[in-house]
Amino acid sequence: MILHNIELVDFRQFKGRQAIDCATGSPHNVSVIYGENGRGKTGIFRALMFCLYGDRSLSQDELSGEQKKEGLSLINEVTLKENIGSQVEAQVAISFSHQRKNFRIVRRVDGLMKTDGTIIQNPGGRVELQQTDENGNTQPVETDLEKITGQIQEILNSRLRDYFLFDGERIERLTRNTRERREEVRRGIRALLDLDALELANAGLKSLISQIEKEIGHKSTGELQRVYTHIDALNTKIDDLENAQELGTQELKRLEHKIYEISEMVSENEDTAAKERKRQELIKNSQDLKVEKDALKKEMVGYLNKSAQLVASQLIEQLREELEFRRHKGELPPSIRKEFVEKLLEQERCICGTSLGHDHQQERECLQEFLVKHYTPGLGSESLDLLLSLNRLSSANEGLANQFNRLLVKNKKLRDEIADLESKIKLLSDELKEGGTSVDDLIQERSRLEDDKRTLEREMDRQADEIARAQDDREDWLKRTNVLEKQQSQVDSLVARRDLTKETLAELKAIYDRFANEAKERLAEKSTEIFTRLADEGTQKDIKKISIDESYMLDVLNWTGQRRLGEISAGQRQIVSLSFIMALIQVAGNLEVALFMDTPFGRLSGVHRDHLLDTIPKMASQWILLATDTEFTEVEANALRQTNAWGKIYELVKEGEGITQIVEREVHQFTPKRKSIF
Amino acid sequence: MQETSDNPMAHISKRWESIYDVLCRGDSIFDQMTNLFTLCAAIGHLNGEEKQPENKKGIFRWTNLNSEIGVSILTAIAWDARDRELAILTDKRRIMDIACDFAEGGMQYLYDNFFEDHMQDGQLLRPEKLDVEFNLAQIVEGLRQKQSMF
Repeated sequence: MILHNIELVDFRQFKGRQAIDCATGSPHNVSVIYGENGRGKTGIFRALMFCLYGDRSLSQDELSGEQKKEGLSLINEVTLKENIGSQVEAQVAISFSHQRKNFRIVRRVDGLMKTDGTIIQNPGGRVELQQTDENGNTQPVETDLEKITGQIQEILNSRLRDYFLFDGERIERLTRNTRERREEVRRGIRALLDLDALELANAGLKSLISQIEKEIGHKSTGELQRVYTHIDALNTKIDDLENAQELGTQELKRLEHKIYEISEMVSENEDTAAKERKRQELIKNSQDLKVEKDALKKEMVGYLNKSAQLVASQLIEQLREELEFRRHKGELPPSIRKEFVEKLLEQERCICGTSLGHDHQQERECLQEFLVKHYTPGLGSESLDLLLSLNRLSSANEGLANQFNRLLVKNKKLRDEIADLESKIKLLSDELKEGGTSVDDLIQERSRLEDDKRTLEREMDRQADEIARAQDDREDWLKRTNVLEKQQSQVDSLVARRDLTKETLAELKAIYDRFANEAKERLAEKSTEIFTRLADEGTQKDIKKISIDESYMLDVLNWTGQRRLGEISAGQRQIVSLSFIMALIQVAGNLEVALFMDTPFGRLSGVHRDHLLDTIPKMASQWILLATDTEFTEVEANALRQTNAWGKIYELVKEGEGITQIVEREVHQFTPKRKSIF
Repeated sequence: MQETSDNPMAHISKRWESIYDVLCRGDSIFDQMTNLFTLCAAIGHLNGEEKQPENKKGIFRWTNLNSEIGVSILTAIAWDARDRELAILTDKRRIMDIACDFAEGGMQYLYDNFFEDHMQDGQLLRPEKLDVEFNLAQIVEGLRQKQSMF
């Protein structure tokens, strides 16, 4: 999907008819929408989501009660005020092309403002889509909502869209080792592979197994029935808890966004801005350190699995010396096999042919003495293997101890730094609370939301614990059923059906995992390739590849294959995340899709910005930047000009309360407000 | 499977089952129970704490042990514990029996020094909340230094 034009009529803060023509095609495929905070960059994204998907709110909006059902008020409030009591219509029209066809989609919503200021927005809306094929033949306007929804989904799957519009400063979140972020990476891969069909089949089989188990339960008697009832109850409990976790994840996302929004608003107040900026900086630093600490933990796990050898290092050394001593004496392994000497004695004949019978008692005693002297119980050929293992452990011990020590020292340093930052954050938060400024309410609200978030996280952890315990419990009960089922022939055929379904489910899961793993490998490879183009020289020296592990955690590996995510900066993590997104586009077969980036350069160093400006226009079909005055300075504007890809620049200008004007500027003449970030 | 002297079973007390479970489940800290068991046996041996598991539960067999770390360390422990008698080196059954007793003592040490404060309803709280990795690493480092003092 390539965007050609976005037209807004009385939509949100954009009063009257306003339009943005996007730069399309080679070489001019970059458009910049430039504006300070609060000028309506999110409004443009909102318009896009409303028009394409009918979304009346975004996932980050905090809505309650009726608003939740009806969504945000999308009609420009100034226009509504000018027409009190009359219907007013807001409209968004988008022209775009996809696979050599042109489309124009228009979505409208109407409403009115009552004399008491209440806004009534019509819950329904009208949408129309017109398609023109590559030969210029225009099809009749489609107005069937269901057909239009299906067609838009086919063009850009709604689950993939989050990857193509994002806040540059927060995109590094993809590299955070949290359940939500792993889920986000998993979702991207799933949508990319279109694995829904397999997941549906998977769910269908699970439900079939549950049905058969219920049937077995009905037909069984006594103990088995009791066991099945118990398993059924556990299944229900696990399902309920998993659903609660899903809802909790969504709620966490909403709270996080709301906290972020309030923090932005607090920053706008002059009295508290400096403190708030400091607070945010400290929070970011603290989060970065926590990510680093998590990566350190993962690294420590590798060494903990070998830690027994550290505790037993002296012992290893002592047994090694003992066996080396024995080997030196020729006892390990003995040069003549014990069995051979025993056989000679049994056959009463020496290797030289001499009989060992009664006439040769001396020779016989010689061999018996040899046996006693040279064969120590416990020493044999396997002891040589033991010695080799002990030698290897012994030479690895010092390195292991050093690594262990290095991680412990580093962890202590990080722990102290985090504690220090947290106490500073608390101090600043308290000062902000006592400030007596007009933002007190906002700060209190944020504290409340942060408390809610912590409570929810604790609750979700508790649920996760409970799920794990219930799953273990169910495992034990299932083992019991295996025994009991064998005793009940009447349920045999049902059990056979159930087992077959389970096998099918296991096979299906294996296929699913194989597909997902292959995709992960391809993505990791492509992400690494892109990373080498985006990262600066120093970063490339440190990092060999990007990996996506079995739990969908993005990570970076150094030249020796060690995980190093915790040691790279937030800016470098942003580059890792961007590389992953660009890889998603390419692995999906060079998706023709517009890439929207809000605050794209916030955390990036100069070299990284240059690489981004140089590389992204070549890799993405279309790049639309939503940039603030503090990050899109003369330096970035000049660098972008040199790529020859910059086609359009629009400035969002506030004209009055509730009104933003979209003003087109000349790319060659446009001068950003700031010279550089410094 | 029947208990054989060639492939003896490692046993722990039933009361440690949930700790082993949480620390060795899925993508938790220890890849296999054998690694935690070997660590416990090494700790028990270093502290001279040898006691028989109560209410035994089998958790793995000899052949599941890592041939380098697991087998070597458990063999060395048994050798040292039985007057450095070389005949024990090939006696898997005796090595495992001795290892079980020390692993019991080792886990008791970990419980007294760390896990006890983090149990709820007989279950170990989730490792993520506990920073088990570095708490365990600190204990191991302390023991490593202790052994070099002798």
